[in-house]
Amino acid sequence: MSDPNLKLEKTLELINKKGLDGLIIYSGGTCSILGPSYLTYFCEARPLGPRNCAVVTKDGRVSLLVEPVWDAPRMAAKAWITDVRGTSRFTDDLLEIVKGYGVNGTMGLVGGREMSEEVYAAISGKVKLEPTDAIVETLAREKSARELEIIYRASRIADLGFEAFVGCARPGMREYDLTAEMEYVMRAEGADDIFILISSGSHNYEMHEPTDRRLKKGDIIIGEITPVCEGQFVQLCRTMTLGEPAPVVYEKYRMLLHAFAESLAQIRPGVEASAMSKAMNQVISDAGYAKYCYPPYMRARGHGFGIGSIAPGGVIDDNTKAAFERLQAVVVHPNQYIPETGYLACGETVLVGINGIQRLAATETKLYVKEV
Amino acid sequence: METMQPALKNGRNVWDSVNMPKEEFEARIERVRTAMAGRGLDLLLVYTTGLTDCGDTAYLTNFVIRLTRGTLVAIPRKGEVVTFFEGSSRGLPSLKQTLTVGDLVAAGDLPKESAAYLKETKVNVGTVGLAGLKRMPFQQYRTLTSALEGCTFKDADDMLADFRICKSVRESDQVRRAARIVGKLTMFLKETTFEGASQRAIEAALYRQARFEGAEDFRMLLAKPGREGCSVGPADYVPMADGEKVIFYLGVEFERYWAEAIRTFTFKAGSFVEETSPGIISGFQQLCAAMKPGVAISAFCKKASAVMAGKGHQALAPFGLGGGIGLGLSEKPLLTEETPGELKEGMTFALRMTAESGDNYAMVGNTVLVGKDGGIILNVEPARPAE
Repeated sequence: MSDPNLKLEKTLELINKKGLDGLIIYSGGTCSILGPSYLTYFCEARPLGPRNCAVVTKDGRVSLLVEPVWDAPRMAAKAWITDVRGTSRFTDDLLEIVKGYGVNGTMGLVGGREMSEEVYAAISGKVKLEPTDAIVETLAREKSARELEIIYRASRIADLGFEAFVGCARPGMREYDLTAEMEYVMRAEGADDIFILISSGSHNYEMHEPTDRRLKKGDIIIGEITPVCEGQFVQLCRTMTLGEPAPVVYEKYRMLLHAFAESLAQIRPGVEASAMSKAMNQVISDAGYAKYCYPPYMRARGHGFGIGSIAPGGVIDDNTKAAFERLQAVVVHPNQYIPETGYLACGETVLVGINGIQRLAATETKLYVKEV
Repeated sequence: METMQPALKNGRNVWDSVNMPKEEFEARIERVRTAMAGRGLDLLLVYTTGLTDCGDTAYLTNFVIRLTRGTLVAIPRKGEVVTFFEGSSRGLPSLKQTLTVGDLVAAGDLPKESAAYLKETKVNVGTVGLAGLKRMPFQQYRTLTSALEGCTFKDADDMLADFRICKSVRESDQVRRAARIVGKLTMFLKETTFEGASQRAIEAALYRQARFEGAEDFRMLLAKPGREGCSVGPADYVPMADGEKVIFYLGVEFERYWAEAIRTFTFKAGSFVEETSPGIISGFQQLCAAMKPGVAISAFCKKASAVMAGKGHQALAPFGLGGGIGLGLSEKPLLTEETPGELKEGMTFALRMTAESGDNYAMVGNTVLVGKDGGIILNVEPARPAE
């Protein structure tokens, strides 16, 4: 638990500044790679069931309501909130808490994007709700020591996942066997969850979930290796070949490394995130692959990672207006389809520092060749 | 049982058309269209979200979104079935490998883009049945329904549940394959030494075994009954203590179909020793024998309670007696005395039995298929050669 009272204090400041009578921070119980986990961030514990929320009044009373009923003791043990209630009648119990606290005016709603129509319809008739994700987004701009520790921990685990990627791959094993080994290592080292995409073959078109395909000598294997610790994702994107690749693979990978370096050089507080994407696309376009820098071949050039906020956004491309801020965790990936080599993966998560980036990965960013 | 949802289904993602041929899905769509005609629906929209409750859309087209996002299947009375998913077009080539019928459309903005597509293809007219749409995020729901202005909406939430209750032979075979993996996991638990390992480390090892067997998803809970009720939850970082008794809940998804098992163990000298007694084994067999087609579900549940009470036991909260299992870990019908309807051949259940008296307890759960003559346990642990 990291300074929960400070978190509550700041929340109350923002609630009162917005003239709200209280706040509902909602979670559908999922953990998304491209979205923040507002409730997990706020209460510092991940809910399990499909409907959960924290209710905060403007004078500082806080309750946590979770599904299923039997998960309440676990959440009470992990979260800093002392009033934790399990429920099997979510909307009724939520309205009861609001009524019990005597809240009559407008309540801010954080995490409304996870709230289903049936829940919203049931409560919005009784409580005036105003979408206000900005409250938690504002809180999350300042990273605590605990959050940084989680980022470093997840980064170490990603490195171990990568070691398993290179160490375990061999001709004859199936894609899903390889991801099983990577997942095992990362979970055993403390990852709460894992997000792995992979592809293997002589010419890959995209990364996907593992299939039955057996690895062969000469394969190019690409992977997105992403452990999750307490809601924080950290990603490594790497390419490995089983056996010596054709010279063109080295050549194109060098070009991607150049694009990677150029894009990293743009990152510092105050710089529009699009600068990172433009620098990357410039190098790749100059190499003759401009058309492959955009959909349907490519989408984002990176995105933010975080528990309470994924600023500067879930998609960083040439149009991203948001500026980088200090201590944002950002994945930068010139993952790229190239006609001569197929799709290659290259990239990693970095922290935005005062004068540039701070690397989190211990593994070198390069083309890995495994002798077979 | 509710379990922690993963950020992504990390396991094997394959459509095996021998196990589940295209015709199986085409027949489902035809059945749905017949039901639509009966209800006067011109278009049926089916929505699911997340990675636990995506059975309805998987039933129709086999598509399962791998992230915690939404899927919308549109079935017009005539014309092509379309599956929309929240995501980018970059993933379409691989995602189409597991789609069995119709087209697959990526939508960055699901309600707007799906409504525009339906308008363009002129199937957004008349009466539209909505199944699962109230579980859509409210902003999306409101955008979609207002974009389909002029249509008459009818609730069709119950339509697919009825189709899914009784499994075809192919479906029960898929559940059997998932159950076989669960059987291997329970065997793995019994045959492996976990000295000094935390619950999380044990879970990691189970994940690996499950994935090696082709599990696309795996869920696990641990339970410890005590004087103040049963504490249930995901694995934690605490090590297992010698002499500790623990209930493992294991769920495995294989090619979209789930199976579960529940076993009670005592942790002794680094190994899990299964708690079995002739009483609980014979009790479970009695429950299976009572699971005959034509028996009212409420009558079966009363009988189950009587069997357990006869041994001085009762169903352990929050597990209960169980319920349907298949494309979801928890499906209709629930095994409670209040549930209407009767047992039918082809139903698959997660059936649970508790032997509990004071601090002494044991729980067992299996995936059971209702056959002609009663329930058939699908969880089978691999045979080992006799020493």
